[in-house]
Amino acid sequence: MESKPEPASPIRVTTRAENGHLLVRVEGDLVLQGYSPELRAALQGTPSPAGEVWLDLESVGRINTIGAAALLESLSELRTRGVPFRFLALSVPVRSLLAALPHEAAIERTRSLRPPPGILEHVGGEAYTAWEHLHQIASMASQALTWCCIAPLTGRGLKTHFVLQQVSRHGVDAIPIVSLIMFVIGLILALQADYQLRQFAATIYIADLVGVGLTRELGPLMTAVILSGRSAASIAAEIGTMRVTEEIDALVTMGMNPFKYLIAPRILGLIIALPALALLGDCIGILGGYVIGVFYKDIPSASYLAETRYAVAVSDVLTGLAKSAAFAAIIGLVGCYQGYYVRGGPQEIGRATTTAVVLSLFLVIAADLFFTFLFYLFG
Amino acid sequence: MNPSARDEPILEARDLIARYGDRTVLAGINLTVRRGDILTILGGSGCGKTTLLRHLIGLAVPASGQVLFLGHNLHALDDAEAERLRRRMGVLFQGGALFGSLTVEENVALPLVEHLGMELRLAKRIAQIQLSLVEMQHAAQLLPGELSGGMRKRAGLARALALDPEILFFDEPSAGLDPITSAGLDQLILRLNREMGMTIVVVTHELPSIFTITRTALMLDQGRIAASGSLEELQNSPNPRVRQFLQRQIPDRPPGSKSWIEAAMVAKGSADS
Ligand SMILES: Nc1ncnc2c1ncn2[C@@H]1O[C@H](COP(=O)(O)OP(=O)(O)OP(=O)(O)O)[C@@H](O)[C@H]1O
Ligand SMILES: [Mg+2]
Repeated sequence: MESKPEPASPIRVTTRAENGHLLVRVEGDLVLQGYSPELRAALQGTPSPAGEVWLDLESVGRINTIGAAALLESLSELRTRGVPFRFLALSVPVRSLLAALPHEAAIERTRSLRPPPGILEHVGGEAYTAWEHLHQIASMASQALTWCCIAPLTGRGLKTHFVLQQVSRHGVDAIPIVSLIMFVIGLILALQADYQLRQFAATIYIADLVGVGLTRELGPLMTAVILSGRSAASIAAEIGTMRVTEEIDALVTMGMNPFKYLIAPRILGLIIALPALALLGDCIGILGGYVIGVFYKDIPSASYLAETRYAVAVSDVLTGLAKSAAFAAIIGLVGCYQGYYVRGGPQEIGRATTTAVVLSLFLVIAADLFFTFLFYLFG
Repeated sequence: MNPSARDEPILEARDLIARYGDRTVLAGINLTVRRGDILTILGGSGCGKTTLLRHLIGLAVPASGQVLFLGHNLHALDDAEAERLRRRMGVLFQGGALFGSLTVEENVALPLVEHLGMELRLAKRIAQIQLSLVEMQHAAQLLPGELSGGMRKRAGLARALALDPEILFFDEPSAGLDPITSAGLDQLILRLNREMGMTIVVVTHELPSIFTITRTALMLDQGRIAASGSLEELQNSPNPRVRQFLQRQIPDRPPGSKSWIEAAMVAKGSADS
């Protein structure tokens, strides 16, 4: 048979000033539903600090931790105000719950365990953290470099199929989205070029602008931006999860170096995949330009292709691909770094993933500026 | 195994100090694990057992002091040598730590393929045998995400056993297991020790486990070793906290720690009239 719990009877607080002390009498149930600010108000309204408070809790029927916490909070307020108090009478439930609650001293200790840092400490802490990050990222880069380039020479190389797996995940699987976006970019570039060029009746140069713009700049940059969102995020989340579930620790204890088995294959896979995607993006973007030039602006197909071939030098394509290899290294390194140093629980994985995307986008664009400037000076 | 090798120290910690930030968790631990022993590490929650285990395994670098595995400090060796030594230890992590993208069988086969250069098919055959040792042969083709907590733990154990390690580490092997599975695991630990001569280090809370498997025990308290020796020695330890832990008693409140609430309650009698 099921019996419904009786509704809590409301709290009634009566106060009476007697000679030298205030008698506070509480009746009813000190539980969540019955909790009212009355008790607190009654205790706060106590007179001069000289007077004592006597608490009569004999008629409290039920009490739970919420009621007890509220009671304790009110009492400790009294205490900080220096008002002495004593229990005149306690009902059995109140007495046993109060006795079971943690020591006030212990609670106070946990409150003051970690004082908020001062401004100097804060700045120092941040600077130290930044330094630590730099140090860790540099050591990860050097480890990855060792495993990608030097270890193969000493016969401790990477397993080819681990690398190919990553090429497939970050390269082959990204072909549809990269194709779609680069085709649209080709269309946009051609329209934009036509808008400028038709004033000079020089429509044929659409092919030049589209071809050079894509191969030198937009092909590598846009594919890198796409992979910053796609691959940096997935790598950070994947490796971060492996950190949290102790899979990385398990690798280490099994004598399998995580840089060899996890980090280097991902970075190397990206360094293979991204330039290939960029090359594909170049071609598809040029196709987009071709569609506008030939079908919309009625440039003869043969002339459009000839103009493209004339305008785009092999060195344009190669500089583009060199840049995209550098972008790939950035994306892979940032993704792995953010995942590898996840500390704490699952909520940290989300943070690491976001940081990985934002940081790799920023670094890719900064690096692009750097390279473009370099080629501008010396190219 | 010859008797002299049996008592040879396999793992030692010397003046091991561990810190997280500026908080010292282990304040000078000295211990020796001898070949063929079963050492259980006991202690209250949060006293640093997992931390100690991570240092013994060589996953964490001590703030000071050192850990010697077979006479070598893992952090002083170069990577290749440290990896070779690590293959001689097996670790079962609290959650099993199986690789999520590989099936159970592939997880167990992985170290065989990677370290012994074994053919995948043969490695899988051996993995099957290892899995039947922990009664997991029926789940060989499943992914870790499809297993229960206890199954994950057993699969993790099969993987830890794959390379036939000389020393096995367990972090709370029976946490989250039902009493029967957990008793089965205890029996397995005893068998590995008795029949294969494996040295075993276990962190555990469970009293039944402690009483079944322990040969040597060590109790941590406040960053130090509060007691060590056989279970009888711990049960008769002069330190009351050690005895209470083994008898499942709540420690007495230290005298003089009465709260102001209690002070107000005591005053009641005098106020009655
Ligand atoms: N990564 C960390 N960063 C900071 N402090 C930590 C970290 N890991 C553990 N600690 C702290 O170190 C202390 C010891 O933790 P540890 O995990 O070793 O305890 P334990 O004895 O294994 O506890 P349990 O029995 O509950 O597993 C705890 O007080 C904990 O707060
Ligand atoms: Mg632990």
